[in-house]
Amino acid sequence: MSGDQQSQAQAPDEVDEWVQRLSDAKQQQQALSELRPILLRGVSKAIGNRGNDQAFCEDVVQEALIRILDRLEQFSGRSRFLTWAMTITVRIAVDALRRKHVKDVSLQAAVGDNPLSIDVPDASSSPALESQKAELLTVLKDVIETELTTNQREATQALLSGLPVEEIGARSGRNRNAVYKLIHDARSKMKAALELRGYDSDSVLSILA
Amino acid sequence: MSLDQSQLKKLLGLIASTSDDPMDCDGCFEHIAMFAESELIGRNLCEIQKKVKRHLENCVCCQNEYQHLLEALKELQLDLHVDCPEESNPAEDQSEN
Repeated sequence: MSGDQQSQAQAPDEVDEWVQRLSDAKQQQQALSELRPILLRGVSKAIGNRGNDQAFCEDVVQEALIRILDRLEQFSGRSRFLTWAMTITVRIAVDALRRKHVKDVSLQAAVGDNPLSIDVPDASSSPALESQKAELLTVLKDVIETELTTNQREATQALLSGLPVEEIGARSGRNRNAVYKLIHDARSKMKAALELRGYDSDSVLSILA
Repeated sequence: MSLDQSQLKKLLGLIASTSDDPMDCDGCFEHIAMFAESELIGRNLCEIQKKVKRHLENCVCCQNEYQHLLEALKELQLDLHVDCPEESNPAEDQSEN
């Protein structure tokens, strides 16, 4: 980092002035022109090594600046302003990357006709570990088929197929929170069922390791 | 089509990492800046930040965004300070560390 860049990002006395400057019509353009390269540097570092070119990062920052101005009144001061601004910028960047990555994947393609279906291997003549694995999968299959709702199965399957929560929401008419809750409730049910049969987290992970 | 081996492992990983989560993704996003600063400077977490941490342990998407955010913040090398409005009992925090 160059000295100029560092002083630009750190200047502690300036931190609390960002909101005031961005809110002031006379100072706003200058503040934006100072904020832009800081956000660009951060987001370029965060996602730049993933095959994203500078133009993509600049688009992200442009959108972020608009959103930051739009949400300026929501900044509570509980963090540095630049940290808050960076969270908005990173969210926009990650959302854009996710959309790009799965743009051609439909919910139907990700979920299939029988979401969260599990094949339990025949362990009748298998060693103990295989037998344990078959038992665990039998419990899991049972709880999926009897306790999970169709929506929970579909959302969880979509996540396992690589669709991020945000994109599952966009394709199913739900918001991110609702999709997260659907999947989390499904996970909780499966975990409770496995624990009831004596499978704690460590044993669940070790069986399929 | 049944889950393949990779999806099955992912599912079991998700199940194993599941815990009670009193926060949703929006709540996490609202407090993530403050949480990130605390993590970066090694400050004890207040109650709301502990909820953020719990959510990140449960939500792969928020965790993914958080990792990107940390990368960005490390690059900026901000002089961080955190004023948590819901500071938990310092004695309680001390006992956890």
